Amino acid sequence: MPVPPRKRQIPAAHRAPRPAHETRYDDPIGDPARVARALRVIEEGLWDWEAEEDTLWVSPRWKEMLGYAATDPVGTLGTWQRLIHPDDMEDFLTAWLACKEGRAAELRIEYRIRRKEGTYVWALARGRCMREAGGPLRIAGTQTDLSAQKQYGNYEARYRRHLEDAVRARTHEFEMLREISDAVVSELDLGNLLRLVAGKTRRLIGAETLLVPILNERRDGYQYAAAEGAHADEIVGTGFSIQTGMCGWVLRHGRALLYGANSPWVPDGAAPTPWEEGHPSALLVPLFSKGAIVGGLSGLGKQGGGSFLPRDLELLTVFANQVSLAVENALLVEALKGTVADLEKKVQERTADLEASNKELEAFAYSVSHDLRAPLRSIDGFGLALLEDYGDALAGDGKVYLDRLRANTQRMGELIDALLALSRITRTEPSFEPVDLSRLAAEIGGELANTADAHPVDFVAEPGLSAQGDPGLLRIALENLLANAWKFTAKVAHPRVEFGRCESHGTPAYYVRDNGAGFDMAYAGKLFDAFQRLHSASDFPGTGIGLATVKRIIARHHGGVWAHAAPGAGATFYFTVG
Amino acid sequence: MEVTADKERFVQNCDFQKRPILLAEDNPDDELLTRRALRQNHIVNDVIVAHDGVEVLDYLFPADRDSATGSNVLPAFLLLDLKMPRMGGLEVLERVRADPRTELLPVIILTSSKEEQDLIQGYRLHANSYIRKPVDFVQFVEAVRQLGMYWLFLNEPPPYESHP
Repeated sequence: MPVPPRKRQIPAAHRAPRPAHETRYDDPIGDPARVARALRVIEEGLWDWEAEEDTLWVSPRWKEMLGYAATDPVGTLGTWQRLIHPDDMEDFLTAWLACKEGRAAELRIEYRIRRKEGTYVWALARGRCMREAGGPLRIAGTQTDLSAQKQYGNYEARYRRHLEDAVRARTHEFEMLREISDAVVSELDLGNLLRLVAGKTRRLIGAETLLVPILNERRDGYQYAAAEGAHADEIVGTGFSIQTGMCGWVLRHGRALLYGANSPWVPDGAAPTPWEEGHPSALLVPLFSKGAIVGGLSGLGKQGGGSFLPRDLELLTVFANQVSLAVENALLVEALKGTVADLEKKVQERTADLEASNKELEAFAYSVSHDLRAPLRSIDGFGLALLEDYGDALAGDGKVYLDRLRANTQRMGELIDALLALSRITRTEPSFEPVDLSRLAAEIGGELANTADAHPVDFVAEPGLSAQGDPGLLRIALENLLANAWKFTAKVAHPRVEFGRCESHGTPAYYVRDNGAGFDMAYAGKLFDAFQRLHSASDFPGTGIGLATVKRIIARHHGGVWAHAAPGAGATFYFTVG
Repeated sequence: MEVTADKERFVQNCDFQKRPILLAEDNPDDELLTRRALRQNHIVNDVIVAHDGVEVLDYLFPADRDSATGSNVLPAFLLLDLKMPRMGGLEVLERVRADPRTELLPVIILTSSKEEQDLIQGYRLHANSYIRKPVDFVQFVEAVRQLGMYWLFLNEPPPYESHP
């Protein structure tokens, strides 16, 4: 507020005689002129109303505020009230009466008061009610012109409105950003993602056309992978050198580009692409994946004319970060899909290989089964025919030799059958169901005890043992183990065979234990190979296939099989299932 | 062997028992040994040998061939090997069962294999029996004796009269 030029003090001798009613104010400050000067500085008007006679005195400043000359009369409270804005009248009188009747300590009211030329100004009236002993009731106080402050208030309101608008706009932008970011981040297919991004970005910054250039693998060119807006269909798929266009500039520099009326583009020697040409404004930002530029977002032409604003650039930059993340995700998913497809292809190839080799094995086994036994039958048949028809003509050991010949054809027949049985285990897919091993062992024990040339064996099977597996295959495994136990106890005094369960490294293991011939652990490694035998066939007959069969069955059950033995001290065979 | 009882049955079922035995066998050794086993068991029926599946069908359905006319006597039973050139035993069996003229013909599969797939397919196509040829010729002779006895004498044959 401008301070009026300091007035020269008027000497006391030249002072005009004071009006009688002004004498009230001189005591604390002394000089009424000084009071007037002070009041002038703070631009307050003064008023003094005396109730009994309804006389109102106002200071010249009070009048001046309203455009009246100092000499214009005021006179009564009614004069004042006639100047009050009708809308503020009630408030004014309420406050006035409250003060007059002692219900309020102070009068304080902001109201509009009419100036001489007819306009209203805002004013603040403050006053106190005073009743001196025996004297009349009076209310006196100040009046302040609020118009300057009110103007400031208007500005403040406007500013607030502007701020609110800005907040609303930002909130809207933020919501749009969040919405499109959510949409973009949840799209995992790269093609769909880029199309989605093109559409959303165009809406976000209000571009006429929005292009999504993607850098090629050699990083020397780019292709528009997606586009929205004018000519979108023509643009998608077109490619340019990285040396070309605003897009090329952004991809080369890894920086955003805002081009328009106030921000010209210095083309760096590069010509704009046909799509970029003719647009008065453009806004481009790069997209990054793992710190490297992969492409960009290119808005061409602001919708409704004009140029893109720095605010658009800010928005686009924020959005581009989201898009970069989404692109990274989509690329990852794409790579993953590729890996999965590769894996699936490999699995298919392996499966086909396996099927082919199984088929081959099947054909081989079929051929062995049909063709290998026929010659044996012929040898045996004609050997016997020879013996039957011409036996008498055979001299010396002739008949013995023929017997040996026949015995060997028998043995070969057995070997072929054993081999086929072994291959059948590989060729059949095992089922998995609960198998009562105890009952199975007891049954097999019973069968072995009832074989014609069986020796008596003290056989004990622990009850209540069961496992998940293929009943047929597990029967074959147990048959082989128990038959072995039976066989190798043939020459001991008190043959004993046990079937039971124990713990091995925290998993249940089943065992078949005998007190028979046993074997030297030095040869244990060969035990489970086909055609490996630790005893001569004359001591203990066999094909040498039995334990190989057991091993294969247990392997098909994802289990293990092993043995502990000592020569003459019996043997224990352990196996686990699953 | 109860020769007397066999003879009685032979008289009773004379017509049937005079019928030949059709042997489908491509291996001449096996043919010879089978004949020997039949002879050793006093089974004297004619043995007609077909060396593959096509020959079996040619015998059973001669009218189907352009050049042939008339019909052959239906065999008492067919001893069918599975693995044969041109046409295998299972295909023969399928055609035999599909034709009303032979659908009731007793068919005994007599083969080296006891592969599960052969057994299942054989029975699925309604073979009457499946016998695996043992390597041991003594056992083979015994098997032939039993099957001859069973299918010629013990078993009641299907009523062929209703068929040509």
